[in-house]
Amino acid sequence: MVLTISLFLCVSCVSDVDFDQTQDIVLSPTVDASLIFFTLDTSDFESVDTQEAVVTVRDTTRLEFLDDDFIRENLREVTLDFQVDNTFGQSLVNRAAFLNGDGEEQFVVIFEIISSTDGSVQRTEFTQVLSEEDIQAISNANQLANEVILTTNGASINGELTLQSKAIYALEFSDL
Amino acid sequence: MRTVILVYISFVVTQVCAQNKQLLYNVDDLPQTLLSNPGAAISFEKHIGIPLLSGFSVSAGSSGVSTYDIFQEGGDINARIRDAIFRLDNKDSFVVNQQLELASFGWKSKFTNNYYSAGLYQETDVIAYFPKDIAVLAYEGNANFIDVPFQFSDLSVAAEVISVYHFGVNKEISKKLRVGGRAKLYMSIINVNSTNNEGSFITRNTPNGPNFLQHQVQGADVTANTSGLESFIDGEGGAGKVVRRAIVSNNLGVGFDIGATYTIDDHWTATASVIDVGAIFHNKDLRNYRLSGSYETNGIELEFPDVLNGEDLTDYWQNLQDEFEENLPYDDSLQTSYTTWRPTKFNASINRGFGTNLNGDCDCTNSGVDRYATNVGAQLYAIKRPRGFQEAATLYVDRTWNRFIRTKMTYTYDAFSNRNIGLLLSTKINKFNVYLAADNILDYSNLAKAQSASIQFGFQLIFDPE
Repeated sequence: MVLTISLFLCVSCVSDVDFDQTQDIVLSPTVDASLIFFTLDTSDFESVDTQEAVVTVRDTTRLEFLDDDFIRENLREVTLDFQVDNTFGQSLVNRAAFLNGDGEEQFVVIFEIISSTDGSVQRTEFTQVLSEEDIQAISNANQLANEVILTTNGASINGELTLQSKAIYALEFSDL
Repeated sequence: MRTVILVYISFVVTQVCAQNKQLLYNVDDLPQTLLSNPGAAISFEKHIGIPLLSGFSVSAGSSGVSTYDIFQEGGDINARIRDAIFRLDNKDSFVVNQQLELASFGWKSKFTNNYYSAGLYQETDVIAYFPKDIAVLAYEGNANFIDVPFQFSDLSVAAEVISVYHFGVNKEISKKLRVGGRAKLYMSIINVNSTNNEGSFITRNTPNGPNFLQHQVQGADVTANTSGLESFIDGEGGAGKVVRRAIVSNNLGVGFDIGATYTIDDHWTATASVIDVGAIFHNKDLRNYRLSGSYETNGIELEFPDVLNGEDLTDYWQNLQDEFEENLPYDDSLQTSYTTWRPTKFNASINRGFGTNLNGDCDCTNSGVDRYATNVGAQLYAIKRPRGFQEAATLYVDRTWNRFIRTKMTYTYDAFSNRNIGLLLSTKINKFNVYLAADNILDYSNLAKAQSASIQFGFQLIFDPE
């Protein structure tokens, strides 16, 4: 019987497999995540001197996950999507600046917003795919400061602007 | 993390009946048959197991994917993992069971003809269902699964290390009917249980705003109960504590087995048993983890406060964190008592004996019941698991060749294998018995391709009637 047990142990084996391939295992999830959104209307510009050439409204939020080591080490691609519906007649620009903890700009996304000549809703869609260098910059950031820059044209400032945004993060985990 | 993935994808299985001891069931000259049917017809008068060696079994299995399927040489391992993740479903499971008899003995009463058996064994049982949705989310992310819910209920794990004191009685009711019962006292050494999770995570497209997407956690109730784990991880008491718990644990349970053998006629017998009807009550050395609630967010809504007119800046990020923690509270310091049910097993068989009657023409020591050298039959097995029953069917040929050697060959069919051949070899020299059983022997030449495997062996003294 001892011989039989030994025989079992001898004939049983594991072959034709390569466990070193665990080094090659890569997880590469793609994550869609909401970013900021807001609505601006006439009231947000009521205190503004319409005689000034350029008016800027600005708000800032922390986004502390961006400089998280886990994200920083595994982020491979980032795409930022923006969509703006606008009825203001003035010329508008949206400027989203990613800041580090000291408030220094690391990366900026700027795009023009289509103005409305007749009060109808004008939709602006903007996508920015970040380069490797951009990703390096954004992963040093932990705040997002968004500015809407309005250039007056002498006409009264009336209308509404809504902005939606999301980020698509392509991650790659290879050192599991 | 790599180890976790390695273990998971190496052994993820479907419908594995890892506790099925089809090779020992109905083997009437092995005491271990009483552990799968306390009402078994047995042929011996007394048994004493060699301590720690009288019975050892270990089994694990895979049907959804084998180790070879993932780790075969050449090709792209990531493509194979992806294929496996999408091919498996949430009923696939990884199962391991191990039993070690610490003490085993039994004797036939001189006064009542009952056979009493008792002992102590240690058992490890692990079942982890494949968390399909969570695996897909981790592997693929949510980008390609907008408006598709990821269910938390896919997370289902139960693991326990216990010791079991047992005492059984095997009684002949009539010449045709033998019944048995076994009382069990369970000592929980370590238990981890997370089996009734609820809720989902979903990312929705929201074309009507306010943002592109809405992320929702709906009705989350994810709980993990542990007992005995906290002090084990902390290393309090070391191995000595584990041994003490195996002998006397603060987390006790009770249960029973029942079984019967019915002699239909001179050649046909039928058996049935129910094993491990019982529960363990966890009251000490507890640690529970719970995440519950519902929450949804569209992202961060900027309000553009009029700073020049004295409005404060809003800490949106802190607000988001606060809302999240308020609506989805996570508590890792609970110490709540809980109850776990043992995985109850069901066995049934029909047997036809023929050939030489081992009891001779007139057996006066065994109520005249015939024992044949050759037996063929069929067995059914089922085990109650967190997500329902897992079943197996077995055909067998059982042959006693002479006073020294007995063999049993089985063919077992279940949802994960249609080529499971098992073999038992039991030898006996005087009163000393050794048995060895293994199934899926066709795959022993390369276990990497096997989707399940088990081995059982033991050494004991068995005393036959004079």
